[in-house]
Amino acid sequence: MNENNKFGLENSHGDHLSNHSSGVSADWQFNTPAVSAAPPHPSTAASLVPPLTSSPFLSAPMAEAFVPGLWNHRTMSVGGSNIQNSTSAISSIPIGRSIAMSSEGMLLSAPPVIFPPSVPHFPADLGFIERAARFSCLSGGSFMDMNLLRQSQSVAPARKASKVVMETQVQNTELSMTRDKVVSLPAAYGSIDQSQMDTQRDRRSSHISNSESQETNFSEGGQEGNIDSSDVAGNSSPSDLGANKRKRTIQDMEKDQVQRGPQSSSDATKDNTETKHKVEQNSSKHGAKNGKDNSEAAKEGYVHVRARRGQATNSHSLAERVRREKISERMKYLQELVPGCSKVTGKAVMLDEIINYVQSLQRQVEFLSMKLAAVNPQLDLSGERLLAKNLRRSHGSPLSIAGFSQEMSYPQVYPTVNPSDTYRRTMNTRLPTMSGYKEPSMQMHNNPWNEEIVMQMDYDANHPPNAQEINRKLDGFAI
Amino acid sequence: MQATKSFEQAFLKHLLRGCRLSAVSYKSMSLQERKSAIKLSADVAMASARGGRKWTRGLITKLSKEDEHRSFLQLILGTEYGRLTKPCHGSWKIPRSKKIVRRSLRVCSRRKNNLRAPHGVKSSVLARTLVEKRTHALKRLVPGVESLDGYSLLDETLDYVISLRAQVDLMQKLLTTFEASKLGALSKCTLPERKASFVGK
Repeated sequence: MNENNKFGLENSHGDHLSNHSSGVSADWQFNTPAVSAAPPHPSTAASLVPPLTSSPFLSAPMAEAFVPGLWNHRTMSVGGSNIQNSTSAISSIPIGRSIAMSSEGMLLSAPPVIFPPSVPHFPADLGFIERAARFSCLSGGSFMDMNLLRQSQSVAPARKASKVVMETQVQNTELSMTRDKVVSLPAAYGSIDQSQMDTQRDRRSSHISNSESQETNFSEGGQEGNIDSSDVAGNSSPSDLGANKRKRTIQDMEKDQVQRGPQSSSDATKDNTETKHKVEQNSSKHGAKNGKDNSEAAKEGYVHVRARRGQATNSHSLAERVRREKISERMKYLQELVPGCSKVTGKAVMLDEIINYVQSLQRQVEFLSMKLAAVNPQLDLSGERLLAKNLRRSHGSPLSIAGFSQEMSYPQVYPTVNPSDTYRRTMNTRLPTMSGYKEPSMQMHNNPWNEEIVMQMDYDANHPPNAQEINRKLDGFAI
Repeated sequence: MQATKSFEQAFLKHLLRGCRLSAVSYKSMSLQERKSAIKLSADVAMASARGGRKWTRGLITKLSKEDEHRSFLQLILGTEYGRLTKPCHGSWKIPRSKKIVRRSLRVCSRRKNNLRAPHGVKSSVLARTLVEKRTHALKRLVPGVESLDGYSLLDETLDYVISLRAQVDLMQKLLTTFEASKLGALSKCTLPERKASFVGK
């Protein structure tokens, strides 16, 4: 989907450059049939309008700051008229907003469109972008047709038109887009310079021979973006399917491209499986606000990132940002783990708290082992009993213990324990003082007392975890 | 965030087994010896119950540094011992060059500080040194994370904290069980006396 974005980016950029005195009407005419021609993705069509979109979280509030009502208005309905209404609004959007995280703009219904700064070119760009976005929905053959159509329709000089085509083709052939590339595109958007675009293209062409992994990363990032945006839109499954379809069509298109390298096709096929895998993964993870998942990164081995608005697009800073986000995610978990750290912000203080907590836990272990050593006289005697209890717990059957003198009392005890959580809790908290509770059975049955305690342990272990989604992330400790 | 039930069961099983294997008894051992034996059993039980993590390997390696513990560990862990103490290749290389890295870092930081001295103390540098100091302290606390970077360190710390918490909870429960059984064993006492003694604890 990033590829799609790039198409949109490139096309809009090229179009923007080529249509200085643009035939906006031509674009719009082309646009509307395209809109009607894309019935299977009604939701996406609306969001196709802004193919260049920043992540919903980042850009939506920013957009709202500038154009409060228009985004919703635009994203609500599909159609050229809507686009027309919004273009004027879009033109007022400040320049230089880089494309935010790698969310697939196609799926977003809310996020604003980040367009090149040149105001008069917006309508053309929008139409062009939408057309370009349509390309992804259509087959590869039609893409080429669109290209030609675009060429023919644009009033621009042949040079610029060819440049557009070349750009898109370069985009297609260059399956691997580095972070720089993706990032540099919004940067290019920020500036209207033709020279910048040239440098962009040069940089891109220099990376044509990049590895397949980048392409998978690329698709993965796009996929992720799809999921993120879909989460935002609240429609995960249809947009996932749409993303899948779009991805596959993109790959089909890529396959059809003439200038494809041999590795591309293999990448595309791999991409298919990867994207499917990623979609399943992604759909299971919600709220990946940053658009990157740690586990995904771990699976892929690296991360595909898009620069956020107003941030440096240097590859180093991007990598650092990814690293920082991963670390902050871990810090969040640790915050939840360490008691009393919810309000603490800042790495150093948090680390301090963690250190203190680990030290206190270790000291507690030492202290408890000392206490156990003091209690030890019972250990020889009841070691086997306890072992039996543990085994019993693991088997889950209270009556599997043999050789207990007090075992007969156990069935008596068991029903009383079962019904109430509160009983359990009081047992736990008021253990030293609960003799009154067990009055009737206290005299004869010491083991049931223990068994009850052990059963409490069992019940406590069965308590659902506080944060299940966090548990999912921990390999060994999933519940 | 909680440890799984299987972890708890495995921990208790290993702990009790270790205690019995090390023949913890009132007769032959002093309090300190018993305490260290129990602690050793608890640590080994925690590491073996958790499975294969960096900190578990580090912990077992640290524990097996002393010869007397090694046989004990081998008894308890059995085949797992060899697996757990096997050096993982990821962390194997890095400790070798740690000294050099440290020296170079020191030189670099000195150079940086010398360059920055005219500008005054930057808050970022200060923050970074604070974080570094704490990171080193954390590395000292958590076993086996010497060579890890920030993210993996936090990951391992998270895991380690969960395991420690589970260990503490289980040992506490075990303790109360023992005490209750000890209390119950005094069957000669009448009920009110027992109540009083229990409350008094």
